[in-house]
Amino acid sequence: MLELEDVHKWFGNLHVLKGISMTVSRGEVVVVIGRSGSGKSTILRCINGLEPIQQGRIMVDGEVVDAHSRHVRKIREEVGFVFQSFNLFPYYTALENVSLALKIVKKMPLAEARSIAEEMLARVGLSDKLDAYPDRLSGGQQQRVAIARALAMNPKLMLFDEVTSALDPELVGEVLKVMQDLAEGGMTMVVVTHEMGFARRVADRVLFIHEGQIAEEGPTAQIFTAPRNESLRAFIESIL
Amino acid sequence: MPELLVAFSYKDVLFLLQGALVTIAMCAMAFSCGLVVALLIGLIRTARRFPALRWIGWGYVEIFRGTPLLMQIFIAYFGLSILGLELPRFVAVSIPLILYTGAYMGEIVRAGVEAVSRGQWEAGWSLGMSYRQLMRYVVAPVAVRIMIPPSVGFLVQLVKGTSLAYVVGYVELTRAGYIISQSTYATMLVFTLVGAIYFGINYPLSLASQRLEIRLKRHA
Repeated sequence: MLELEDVHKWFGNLHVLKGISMTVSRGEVVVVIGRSGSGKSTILRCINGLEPIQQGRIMVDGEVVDAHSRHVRKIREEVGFVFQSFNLFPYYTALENVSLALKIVKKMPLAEARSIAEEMLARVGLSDKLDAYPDRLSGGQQQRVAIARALAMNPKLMLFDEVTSALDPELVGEVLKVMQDLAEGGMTMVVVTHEMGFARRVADRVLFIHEGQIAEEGPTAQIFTAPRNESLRAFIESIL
Repeated sequence: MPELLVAFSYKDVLFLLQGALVTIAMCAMAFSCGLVVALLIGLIRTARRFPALRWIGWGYVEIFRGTPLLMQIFIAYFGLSILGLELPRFVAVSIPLILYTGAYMGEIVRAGVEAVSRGQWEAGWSLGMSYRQLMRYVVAPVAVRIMIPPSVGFLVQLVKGTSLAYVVGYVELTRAGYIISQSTYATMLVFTLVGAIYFGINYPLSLASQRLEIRLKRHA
């Protein structure tokens, strides 16, 4: 489903990704952990073509991601992205936020776009907020709308970039719950997060990124109970 | 004083109002055409991919903002006729006003577009939107709201700016006032009236913009 081969990324002189290679198969949930600045968010942004890479190759479902080509738009339609800062469109209601891209990108008739949007918002537990504008929603609700917006495109792969980091602690649970439901429904997901509890419950596999490289990867239980890498051990200790 | 007022009749008032209509027409023309120029300038000034275009936009804006409108009107009016282009007066006066509007409004458009956060762009991109779709459906709704107050500010400037067209003998509101004051000598009265008419055009604009701002501010 997703394949990265020796991906390198520079911001100017700063070498942020130093040869990342990874594969994610259909239905797999991979959690990416690491200290801030380690490059984990950058990996997600490159997968979606929001950042160009300078070396290596990224393939989504057999297609090469090239941030500079027009074709990247087609790939993005199939890859859902959820941001740390929600990024809802402020002058659209929850329903319109979810249905907008269906109408203009997928060219769906209004009624069909609307019914899909309603279905997606129901799925994230927001059936009573269809006509609410983002400024009337809590952070947790906004983030669930953002998840619904990405899901509405019927993606093959979902990317989550620290989606609970901007939330008040009491709102984190409702968002993680939606993500867990998704994972249990068989969605292929790559999740960058600091929520270790979530990683333990939901992840099939965990990647630990350190200084732009995959320092350790393995089944979830192994990563948390028997970390081999020294910096991973230090990281886990600092978090628990 | 009373005998001066005798010379001032309702016909003069009509003449002033006619001048006011010309002023309004000139503004409408300059603002609407200038807005098209401004959109173009605003878009090329924010286009990351085309640095050459960005420089052209920058040069245009700096030249038209950095020189007096009066000079631009002179040059357009007399310069074009030296080049052998005999344009109707209305057009010859409108051209500099349009370009002047394009420069100022272009900056307002640019500021509006740039005020839209990177996250909004990325959200649109991640949903597979094209640049054009993003501009139309994501950026414009935010940018337009930001642009309203400075745009009205500029429009008010423009209404007053059109008075400079009097230097080339074009009969708009100010010129009309000048002509009447020459024939009636009721200078104070005439120009007070002229000022009142300008105010009568501009004040409703400000009010309308305030209303619009409040209406659009919901859900900001």
